[in-house]
Amino acid sequence: MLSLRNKFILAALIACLFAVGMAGFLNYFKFKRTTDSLLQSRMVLIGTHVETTIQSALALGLSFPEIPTVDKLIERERASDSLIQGIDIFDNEGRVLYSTQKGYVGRVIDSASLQAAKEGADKPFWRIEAREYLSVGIGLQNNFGVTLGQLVIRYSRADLDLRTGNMGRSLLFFSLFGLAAAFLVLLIVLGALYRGFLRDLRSFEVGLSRALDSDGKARLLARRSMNRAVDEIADVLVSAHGALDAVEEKLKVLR
Amino acid sequence: MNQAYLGKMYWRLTGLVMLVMLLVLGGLSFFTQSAFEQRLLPDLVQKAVTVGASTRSLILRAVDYGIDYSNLYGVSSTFAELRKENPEFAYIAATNERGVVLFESGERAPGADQYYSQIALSTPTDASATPVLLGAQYVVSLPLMIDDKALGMLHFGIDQAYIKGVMREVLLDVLVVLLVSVFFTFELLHFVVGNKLEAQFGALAETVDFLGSGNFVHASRSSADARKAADYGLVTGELALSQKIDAALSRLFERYRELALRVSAAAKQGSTLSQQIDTMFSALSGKYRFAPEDSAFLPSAIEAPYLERIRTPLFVFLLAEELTRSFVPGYANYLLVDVPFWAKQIVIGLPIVLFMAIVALAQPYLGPWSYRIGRKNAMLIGAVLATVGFMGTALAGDLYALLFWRSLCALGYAMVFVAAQGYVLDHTGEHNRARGFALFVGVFMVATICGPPIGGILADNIGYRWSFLVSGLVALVSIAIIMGLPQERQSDGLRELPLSFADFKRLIKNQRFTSLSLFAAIPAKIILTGFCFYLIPLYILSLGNSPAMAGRLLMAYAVIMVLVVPLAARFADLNIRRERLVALGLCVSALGGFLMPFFDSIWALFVLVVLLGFGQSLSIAAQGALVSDFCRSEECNLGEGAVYGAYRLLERTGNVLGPLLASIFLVLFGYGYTFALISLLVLLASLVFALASGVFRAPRSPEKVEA
Repeated sequence: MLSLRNKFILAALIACLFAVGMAGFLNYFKFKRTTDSLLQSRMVLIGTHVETTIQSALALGLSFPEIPTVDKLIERERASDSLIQGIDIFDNEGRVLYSTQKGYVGRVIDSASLQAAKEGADKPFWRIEAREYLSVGIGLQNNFGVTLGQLVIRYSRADLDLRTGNMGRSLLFFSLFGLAAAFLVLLIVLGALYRGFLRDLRSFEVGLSRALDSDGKARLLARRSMNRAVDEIADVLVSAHGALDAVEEKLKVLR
Repeated sequence: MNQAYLGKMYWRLTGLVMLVMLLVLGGLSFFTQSAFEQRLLPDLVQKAVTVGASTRSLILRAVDYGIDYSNLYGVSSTFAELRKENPEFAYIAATNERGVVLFESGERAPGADQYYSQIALSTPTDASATPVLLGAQYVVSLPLMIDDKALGMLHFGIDQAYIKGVMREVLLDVLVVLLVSVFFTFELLHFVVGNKLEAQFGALAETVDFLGSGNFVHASRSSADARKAADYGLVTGELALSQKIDAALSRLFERYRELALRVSAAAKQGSTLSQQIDTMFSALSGKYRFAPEDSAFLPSAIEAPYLERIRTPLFVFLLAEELTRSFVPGYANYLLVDVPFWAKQIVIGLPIVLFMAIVALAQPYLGPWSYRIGRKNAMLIGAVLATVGFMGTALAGDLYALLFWRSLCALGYAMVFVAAQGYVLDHTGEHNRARGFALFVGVFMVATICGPPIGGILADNIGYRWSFLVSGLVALVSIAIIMGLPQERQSDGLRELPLSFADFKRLIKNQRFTSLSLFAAIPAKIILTGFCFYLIPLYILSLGNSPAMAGRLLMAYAVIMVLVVPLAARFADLNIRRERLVALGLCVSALGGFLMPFFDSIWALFVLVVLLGFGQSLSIAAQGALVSDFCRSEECNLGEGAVYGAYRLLERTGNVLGPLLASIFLVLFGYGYTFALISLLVLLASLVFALASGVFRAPRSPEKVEA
């Protein structure tokens, strides 16, 4: 069975655990989202660059499946960022026209990408979160605003997971350190508070005991509001006994 | 020595814990910010490199066409556009081969010119993507080369404030967590420390109060009862104050009894003096309570620990439901399916409407049921149903499944709510029923403060489904705590009968009761559930904000309620006419809605929530008191429980109507006008109520009242 003091400390510690845990949780997810959004915007920038180049080629009258510079361009972009796993460009039917991955050209893109492209048709870009990778897609339009196909950039999820994992561990370390510090401070501060609490109670108990033992004659003449109750009781006891004394006196006279 | 001392002690403790938390969270924020800066900077630099590569290719292409680099057109405006699209860049510039700025957008960092000249002197290949801190910007410099000839450099200034801004967003949520922690700590203290200590303090306080007022009979009774619960030796365990109290009182009682015999013997003499003595003795009995006939049954402090024990299970259970408040409409929207002939907005509101309807309709029947099977058992069944409901909701595949699981949650919620209410009734008497209900309402309000913001934060970060799972886990914890409640005997409780239709008809015939219910209670609930449970969470999402923001606003509403309701209740008990408070409160709660067609912002919504909270606080206590004022004869004939049961049933129809009306208006008029229309309805209702209850009539003079 825990003592009252330890119960106070336990309650305070649980409350600290809640606050520090929530703060750590919030920081972790904020970091994750910020990193994710930074990576995503970087990929979208690369995608937009490729899109601009393709649009320039289309403006020169080249047909979409037969732009000679695209293979080199996407290979260069892939090489420029270590995070990128691959870049694919597919037409509206899902047939891969260009890819940084050998043997992909001519295949049909996965159904998740096709579905995401369909759902994100009216958005600047779409996104897929697969178990092994993340990808962003951008609709490729000609100069008349007709969508000819989609560009998908697949990038490493492991990298994001590693970074957020590292941050999570750091946050856990900070939080544990903070909790340990809180525990030490609480131990000292609550100790002092508890001693004050005991002092108040002792003075009340002793005062009330004395007042009761002496039928109200002993009193605290307390300044503290808590002990004023003892003096009130003492007053009432004295006054009650006094009233009984008065009746007794009269009875003596009557006799 | 009283309960207030213990309350002060709790607050002091809570204050200290808060101070420690503030220090720890401050330290954590400091370390986290530096960790964020360290870990996000490489990504920001890499992004600058990516943007730089794209910009560089544009510049080089133009130079390739033969345009002089220093005379390129539109570079600065392109930089401005890039900064707009990428707010983390505070500055973008292009310099020539000597480091002189040719094109730029944003504010140049102090010392930048010197730095640009300095790195221009080094061979361009030396320039790397290593950031250099200049003022409040991390500057990343990239070379511009054409055929191995240096044209100049591109410089990107990453705003240090961007990272601080990321932290600031977290800080707002951390502040919310801190505020929630205040209430959480208080509840924890009740749970961890509370029951026995409060019982002891309660018993001691009651005995001390009785002793101080000269009520020795009740003091003796209370002391004896308290000894059963716990020894008074709170500190040493040796003082055994109760024995001393008993000894002191025994001495008094003995003297009194002895004197009573002598006075009665003396009275037989019939002398003037004996008559005087008799009068003196009678006066003594008037001033102090010695006589055994005064020792009528007095519910004693021993009930206090039982009453307090409902606090934690109820809080934990309500918290589970309140966690979901800020994101239920968002989740319904996420699981939305096409329902033929039903508008999307109405379908989104269905889970809330159904929940409210089940709670409203089930409550009158659940009261007697929970009496029959026992409050604890009823609470257990309710909590189990709700837990299954939360888990099912988390896994719901579509809106139909959501409706089913939320119905289960509603049934569980109603069971726990009614059983807990019954528990309070069972463990309170006339003298402490108000305290019992204050505890009930207090727990409810604290759950309302803590739940929505935390739920919003959870939904924002881990998603709707995981957040419902968290609610399920919290409800599971509540089951464990409910199991610790005492198993009461059936005869312990007050027998409750369901409200009969005849009783209901009789009450409806009371025009003042009907006007209070129709034009005050129902509109108050319509605006509350329509706004807080349906419109605000959806509107916030439509503004591009997260469920966390909805949670913060709902918390603001609850905080205002907690602060203003006690003050308003005091007003309602003073000379101010309660009808006026009700009408005024309704008017105030409606005012905020009229802002919404004109202001499309969170701040307008915040003002709306503040006014709503303030208005509801003003009217809520007065409404409850008016029921009793208006139905005195019905209370005598049907009982207080039946009258309030009927009133609550009518009131809860407002809970059902709120989201329903809001969703229909939303289909027809959009957000701004829906807020305004509901406000208009409530305003009109308050005017009708004011007219019907004679608010505008001059108050009767005290003389007339006396007459």
